[in-house]
Amino acid sequence: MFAYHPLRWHLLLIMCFFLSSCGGGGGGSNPVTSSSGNTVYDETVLDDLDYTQGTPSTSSLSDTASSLLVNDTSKSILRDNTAASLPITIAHSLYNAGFEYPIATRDTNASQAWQDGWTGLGQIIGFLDEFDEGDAVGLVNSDDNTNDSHGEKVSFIANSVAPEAELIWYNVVGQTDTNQSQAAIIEDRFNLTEDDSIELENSGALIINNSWNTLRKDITSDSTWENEIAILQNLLANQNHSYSDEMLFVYSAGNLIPGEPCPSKKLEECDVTAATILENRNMGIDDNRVRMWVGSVDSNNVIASYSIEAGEMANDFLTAHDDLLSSGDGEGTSYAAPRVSGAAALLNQKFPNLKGNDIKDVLLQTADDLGATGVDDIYGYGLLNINNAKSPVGTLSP
Amino acid sequence: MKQQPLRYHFKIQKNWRWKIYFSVIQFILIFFWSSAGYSDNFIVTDAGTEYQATSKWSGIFTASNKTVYDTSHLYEAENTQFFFKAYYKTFLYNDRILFRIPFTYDNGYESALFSADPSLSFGVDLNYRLNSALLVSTSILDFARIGGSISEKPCRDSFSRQFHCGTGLAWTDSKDSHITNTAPTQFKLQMSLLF
Repeated sequence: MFAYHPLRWHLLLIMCFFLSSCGGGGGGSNPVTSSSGNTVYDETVLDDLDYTQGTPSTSSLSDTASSLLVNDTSKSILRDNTAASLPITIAHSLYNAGFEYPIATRDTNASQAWQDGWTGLGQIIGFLDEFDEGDAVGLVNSDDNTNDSHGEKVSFIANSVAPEAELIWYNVVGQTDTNQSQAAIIEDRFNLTEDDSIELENSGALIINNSWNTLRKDITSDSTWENEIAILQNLLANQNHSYSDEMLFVYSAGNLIPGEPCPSKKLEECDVTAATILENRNMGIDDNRVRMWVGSVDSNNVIASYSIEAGEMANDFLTAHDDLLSSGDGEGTSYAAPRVSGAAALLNQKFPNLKGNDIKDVLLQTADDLGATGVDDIYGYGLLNINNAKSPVGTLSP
Repeated sequence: MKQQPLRYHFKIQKNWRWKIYFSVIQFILIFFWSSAGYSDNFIVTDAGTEYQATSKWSGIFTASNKTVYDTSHLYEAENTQFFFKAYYKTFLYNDRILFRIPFTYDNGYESALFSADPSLSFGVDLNYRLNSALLVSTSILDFARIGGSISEKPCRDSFSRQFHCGTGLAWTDSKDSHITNTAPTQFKLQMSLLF
C-alpha cells in the first residue's frame, strides 16, 4: 500500500511538529509556557477568573513583627498597674519574656495569618476614642511617643493583630462633657462620632473601632432609659448619610463594675446604642451600617466578670481576650474590640470582595464556640479565632 | 403565535485548536503504525488510561481550622485520559547510525478546577557506531514539548471567598503551590565498548 521510505517518516514527523506549533500561538486566553518551561498565566486568564484578591504582604515575618511594635524604641506604653510608661521594647521583654509577639498577636492566632502575608496591608482602621492630645478635635496626627492614652492602647492592640494596617485616630470620647445629662452625652457623642465616622470613611477607613459606650446609668427609671433610646432613635432617623456597605463598625460591649447599674449585664439592657438598634430592628427600621459588639473573656476563655454579655444581640456578638501586655492584665472590652477590628482588616486584605456584613459573618461563624453549644446569650458566637477565619465557610463550589 | 427562529449554538472550546491538531496527529500515527511495513519502526514502550504528564490534586484537604474538606468532585476528570510513550527508529548511513525519536503523548486532563492541555513531547536519540568495538550514544529527552499548559481555578466558599481547593489556602496564598508542567530536558552522552 505504501512504499517504504525513511524520508517520508521524517517529513511526516516534522510536519506534525510544525502543525502543532502553529496552533499554540492561537490560544491567546490560555496559560502559556514560558521559555524557561514554567507555566505562567496571562492577564486574560486572570480576568476570566474574576481575580479579586488582595495583595499579600511582601514583608518578611520578622519585619512585620518589628516594624511597628516590639522593636519600636521610640514609643512607650503605660500598663495600668505600673507607675510610668515603659518603652515598648522593655515592656515587651518584661511582660512577654520568651515570646516573640505581643499577646494580642498570640491570643488571636494572628501570627499564623502573618505567615501567609495576612498583615492588614492596604487596609485602614479608624479609631473613635480618647486620645491625649488635649482638646483637639479631629484627626490626631501628633505623636507624643507614648502609648498611654486609652485610644493609643486600643490602637496598639489592633496593631498587634494587623501590623501593616494604617491607623487613623479621632479624639471623640474626651470631647464629651461627662458632667452633663445622659441625654446630652448621647447627643454629643452621636454628633461627634457621626461627623468623624464620615471623615474616616472619606479617608478610606472601612473598619471603625469604637472602644467606648454610653451605658445605662439609672436602672430605677424605665422612662429615663426609654427616653435615652428615643433620643438616639431620633438622631439615627435624622442621620441622612448612607455609609458604604463595605464598612464595619466594631463596638466594645462595655464594662460593668459590681454594684454599678445594669446587673443583668445583657447588652440590649445596658448599652443605649445596642438597645436602640434592637428596638429599631423590632420596628422594622434598618440600621444604616453594619455593627458588631465584642465582649471580653479571661485567660480560661470564660466571660470576664466585668464584660457585658450578648443578650438578645447574640447574632451580633463575639468575644476576644483583652490583655494588653501579658496574660491576666485584661483591662476591659475596650481592648477586646480592636482585636476584632484588626482581624477584620486581615480579612479585608485577603478578600476585598467581602462587604462589611460578610466580614462580620465570617468572623462570627468561624469563632470558637464558647458556653452553651451554638449561639448563646452570653458569648454570642464565641471566641475570635483568626486562624479559623482563614478557612472556607460552608459549601465549596467552582 | 409567532414562530421563534431556530438558533444554533456552536461552542468552540478554548483549546479546540489543540484538539484538532492532536486528533490529526493521532490519526496519522495510528494509521501508519497499523501498516505492516512500518510496524518495525514504531515501538510503543508504555501506555495507559490515566493522565500522567504532571501530578494533580485529590481535592481533599485539611484547612487551617483542622476541618477536612472533600472537594474531589471538583477535580474529577471530564475527558478521556490516556497516554503513550513510543519511539520511532531508523538506521542511517549504512546502519552505522541508529536514529530514534522518543515521544510521549498525553491526552491531558479536564476538570472543574484543574485542566491540562494535551501534550506531545519529543526527544532525540542518536547511536553512532564508530567502529566494531565502540558505540557512542547521545540523547536529549523532552527537548521540545507542544501543549501541556496547566490551568487552575479557585473554588468559592459560601461568602464567595476564593480558595485553592487542592491545598485549602486562600487563592492568593496558593500561587507557589500550583502545579506546573516543567519536566526538565535531559541530556545524555554515553560511550560503549563492545566486546
